[in-house]
Amino acid sequence: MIYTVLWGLLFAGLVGFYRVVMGPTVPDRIVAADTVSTILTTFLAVLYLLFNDMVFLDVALAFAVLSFVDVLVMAKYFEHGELHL
Amino acid sequence: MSVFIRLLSSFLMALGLFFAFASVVGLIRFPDVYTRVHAGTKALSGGAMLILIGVAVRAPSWQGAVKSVLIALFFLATNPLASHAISRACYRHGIAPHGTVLDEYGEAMEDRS
Repeated sequence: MIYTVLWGLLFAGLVGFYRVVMGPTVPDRIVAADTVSTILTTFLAVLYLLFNDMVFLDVALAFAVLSFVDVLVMAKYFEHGELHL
Repeated sequence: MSVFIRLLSSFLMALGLFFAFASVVGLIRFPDVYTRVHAGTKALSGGAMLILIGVAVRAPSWQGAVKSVLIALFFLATNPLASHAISRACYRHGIAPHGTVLDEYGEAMEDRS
């Protein structure tokens, strides 16, 4: 069951990555990158069950925080054309 | 590990995998940025939370279960915020939604400015 979930998440991430590469406009790519990062975070959390190593969950939590900040900064840069920090 | 826990975790993970696939199919098939935001973020946050709760049910130690639920709560807090930021930036940038008839937000913004 764990292997099925892993392969399914990998396939979903690859299909989402198609939208990152081929997206017609910039916000399409931002949305698809957000989706792929969420799928990868879930993938890391399932890898914790496979290897029984706590470091995968720590990396997943850090990756979730970083991708959230990443998407916010990209959306703000796309809105204004520059960063008003 | 009892059979019931294994069955419950497998059921939650399968449901979350279905949501992830539905979200990715919507990301490919939908015509517009806003509908893609809807498909990509809303369905996927539910699917990712289901898979993470399945991991927490099956986790070998209670620390792992707590951390997994923590990641799920983090998704619940941040994923709507990110999707709102993206769609707001798209609208302010001037991308019109596909097939709109009435645009009250644009009229309100023009009235204010």
